[in-house]
Amino acid sequence: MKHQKQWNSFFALEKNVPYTSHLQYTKELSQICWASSAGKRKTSSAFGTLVKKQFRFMAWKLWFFQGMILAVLCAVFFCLFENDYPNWFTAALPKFLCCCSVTVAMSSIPLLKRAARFQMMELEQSTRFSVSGILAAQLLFIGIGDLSMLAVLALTVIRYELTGSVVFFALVVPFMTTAVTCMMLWIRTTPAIFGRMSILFCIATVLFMNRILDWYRDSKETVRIGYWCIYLLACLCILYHEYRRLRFTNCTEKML
Amino acid sequence: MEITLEHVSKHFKDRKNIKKAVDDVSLHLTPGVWGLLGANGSGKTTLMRMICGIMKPSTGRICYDGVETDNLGDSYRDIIGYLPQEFGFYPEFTVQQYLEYISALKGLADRQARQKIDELLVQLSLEDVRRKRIIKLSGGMKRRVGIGQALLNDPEFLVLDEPTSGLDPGERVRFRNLLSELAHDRIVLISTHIVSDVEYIATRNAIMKNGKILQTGTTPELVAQMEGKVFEAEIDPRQLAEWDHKVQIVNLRNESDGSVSLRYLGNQNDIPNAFPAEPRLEDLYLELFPKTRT
Repeated sequence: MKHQKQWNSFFALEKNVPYTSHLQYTKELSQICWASSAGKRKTSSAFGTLVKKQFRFMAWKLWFFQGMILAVLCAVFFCLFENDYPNWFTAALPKFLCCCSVTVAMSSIPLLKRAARFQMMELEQSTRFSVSGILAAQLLFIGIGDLSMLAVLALTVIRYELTGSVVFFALVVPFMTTAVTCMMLWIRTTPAIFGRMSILFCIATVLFMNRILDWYRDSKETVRIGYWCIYLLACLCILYHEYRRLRFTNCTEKML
Repeated sequence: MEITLEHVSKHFKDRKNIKKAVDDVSLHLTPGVWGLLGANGSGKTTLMRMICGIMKPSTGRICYDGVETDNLGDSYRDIIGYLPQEFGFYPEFTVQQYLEYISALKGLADRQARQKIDELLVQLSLEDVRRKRIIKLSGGMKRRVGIGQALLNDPEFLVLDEPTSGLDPGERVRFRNLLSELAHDRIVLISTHIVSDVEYIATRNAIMKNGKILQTGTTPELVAQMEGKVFEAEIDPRQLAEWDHKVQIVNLRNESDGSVSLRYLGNQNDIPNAFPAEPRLEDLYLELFPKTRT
């Protein structure tokens, strides 16, 4: 903007330029230069600054909330399983982990809905970083919080008689499924619909994953990590695609 | 500095129908206060959202100093200050925290933000409440916080959507004066359906109806169209219902002698003993948006 003013004042002073068409041409050229330099300002360092600042305003609140949820999950875990080991423990623990994993993914829903709930979305959209930039920063914090929670849950159950593949399956697969679906819903629906739809989907995921766990138990099949890794890779690709869609397209318009 | 809208339209898909919220609008905004007048649902907010880059036009283009705003990217948002109709805030924020938060979103450096916030709090008489939570402030103070956030980046283009809704008359007057002060070297675009908000401070007005711009011009230019169309008369209160069906009544006042003073749009002959009145912008507004009779 400053450079544009300098250009304009410069051209305004140069009244003795002999060819009007030349002056007009140079003006247009300056506008193109300015426009192209404006485009280049979308640098990662600018996004990095936003992330740094969002830490103060949002990240600690999110992590505090997630910490509370984790504390509740751990408390429930110790109440349910510590005294009754090993009668029904081995069968129930994967299902419990599956529920925890979906709960972890769901812990981000209030934060995602927050801007819409308090009518901040329109205002945020009009700022330099816009809703997509702010949401991208939030997703970063959500990701860090979620992974930390999953890691704590995995460490909590690691001393029990569960194979690594079962822990992996019960914690990571439902989490990724829920996360991908929530992200897709968030980008494609309005905030009001998103809340209801995501909760419904989370319940459906828990039920479905429990059925798969039952099948594994009844058929005595072992969890084949390789197959599920392909599934998780597909989920990661979808997440990346959705993230890019959020950052670089105008998909936030219908959220308003 | 100028903002140009060239044949801008915005369509929304509503199930099977396509609704035209803004329909082929062309405007040339230059520094000064611009009043965007129109009834509820006339497309003002959608137009403002497009101008601010919150929504993209379905067709047409918006240019800033001849460059299409799409090509300007983030830097276009740097010159804009926007106050939405529904002024939102996170309930835990104090005034200071809120302004710091918006500064961060606007990409201001910490030192610059602190300096600007201090300056604005003084200018908007919010110094005493800087550590108070916004949720506990009065409607007028909340609006001032809203204006404050819009001014944080020292915008060249200030867009205010229904800024005076919910304010008492005293606050409205103070608000108008503040806007007049701010309008030096800036484009200030105010959307409202309260005509008196812009009548005295707007350099130019644009009147919107059904997504289209019906008229643009200075207040005197627009009001001049109503010369010879606005009259006042005194009538018997029992005749009121009859006249209400025959003429467009602008204003009614019960006099102490039992008669009713009537201001109406129409012809002098419509009501006996009627005399011409000085037209106002409100009269034009009512002619363009006639009230629906129930």
